[in-house]
Amino acid sequence: MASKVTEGALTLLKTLPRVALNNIKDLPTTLYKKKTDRAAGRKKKGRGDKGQGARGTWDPIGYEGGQAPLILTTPVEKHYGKYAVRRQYPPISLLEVQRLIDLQRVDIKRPIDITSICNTNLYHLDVSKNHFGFNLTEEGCDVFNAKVNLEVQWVTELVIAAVERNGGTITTRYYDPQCVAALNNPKAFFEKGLPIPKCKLPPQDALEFYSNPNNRGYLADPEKVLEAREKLAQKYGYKLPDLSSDPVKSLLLMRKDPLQIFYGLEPGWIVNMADKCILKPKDEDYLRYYANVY
Amino acid sequence: MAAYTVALFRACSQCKRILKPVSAAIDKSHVSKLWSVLEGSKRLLTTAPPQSTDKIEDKSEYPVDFEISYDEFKHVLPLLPIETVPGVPNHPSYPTPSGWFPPNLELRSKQKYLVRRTKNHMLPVYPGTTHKRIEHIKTVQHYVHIKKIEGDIWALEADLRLHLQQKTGLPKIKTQVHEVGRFIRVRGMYADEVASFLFGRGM
Repeated sequence: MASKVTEGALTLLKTLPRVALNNIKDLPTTLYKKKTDRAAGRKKKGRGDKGQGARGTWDPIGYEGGQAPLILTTPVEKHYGKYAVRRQYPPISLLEVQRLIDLQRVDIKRPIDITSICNTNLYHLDVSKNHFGFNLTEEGCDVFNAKVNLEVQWVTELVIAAVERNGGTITTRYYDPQCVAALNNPKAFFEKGLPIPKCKLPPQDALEFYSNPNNRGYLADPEKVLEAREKLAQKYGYKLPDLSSDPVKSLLLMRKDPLQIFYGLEPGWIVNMADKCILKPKDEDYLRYYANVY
Repeated sequence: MAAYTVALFRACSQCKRILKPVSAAIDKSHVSKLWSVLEGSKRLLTTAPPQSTDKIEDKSEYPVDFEISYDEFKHVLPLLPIETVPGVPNHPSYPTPSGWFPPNLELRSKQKYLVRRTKNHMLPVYPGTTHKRIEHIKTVQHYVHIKKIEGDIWALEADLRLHLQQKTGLPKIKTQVHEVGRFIRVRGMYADEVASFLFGRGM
């Protein structure tokens, strides 16, 4: 038998009101949905008496009583037409490249390409978003002050002039998505143990851009590129530095083979990161595949 | 036989899981008996490996005949990323062509507060936007976020607000101060003004 105090407390508890389904109620801040009478069992269902309103036979949206409607008279501008299959070139400006050089994030003693920009971990290319490389934009063309060998995927005339005025060289180069993935993160690619891919030729709609000497395309005739350099120097009124007597001539004229994606490494080779060596298969069919364009 | 060993191993692994936390409480001889069973099952597994591992015998699809080159690995080294951000570079004169200059250590030591540079040697000033609904109309609100603040955060906020008021000529500049998170938010598109203010104080 419990003491008198506990028994009293228990009886008090039994009589006190408690929270139950019959006495709870919503918070004062609760938002109630407005009650709408669906008019069940009524004749006209709240839609008035007869006519289009009651029967739901309004004109279609955009119908202008017989005259040619706006949707047909205005011409269509498909700014985002075929967006999913377009090639995307994320921008990087000349000012940003200059900042990378100033802060020693890229080495100008080597040619600058996708790999050297992406290895800074400040810029990335995503193949799943149809990224095909970098578009070098014009911002900072007046302050650009570096003598470099640049390789980008899209340029304008002014950008070419800004780079060549300082004695540098620039090329535009196409890479297919598989190569872009390898160039974006070479370390991860080598660790997979796959053979280095050979680069495909540009698709038909991009072939003209990459074989045009005015764009410094990698498929253009080198002699015509030299001509175009001089023409551009005359147009913008700067003196073109002499390439033949340049101390870093070998650096500035370094170019990749159209099938090659890394300097010094050939397609078909396999990089062994564990043993720090390169494996070169000797099979004839294998070599023929990696040496030819199909 | 294989199925039996797998079943045994599964049972023993469960035993191990249960035994581990309470092993001290159980009689040691009992535990050792169970452990001997476990080891026996392991031995059984090692002596009779599953048949699936025998499938990689056929290597006809892999290139067998290849040459190994150690010299040409030097072309791979420059393709690997640098693991740490290089330190503050030394230039003959500042600002550099891209407009970068290092913090003025003398000037900034005189202030009550300090805004450190990021690991990339830039100011931690970030413009951003928030979206707000006012009566079913979406509006974009711009703000500037200043991070990495040390020292007297309220003195910085007062100075910054006064500076922006003088620059813009507005009677009121809205700011938020987070003392614990050590950041300040300024309402409006004032990233450039905030940066020039901080550069002026040697940050």
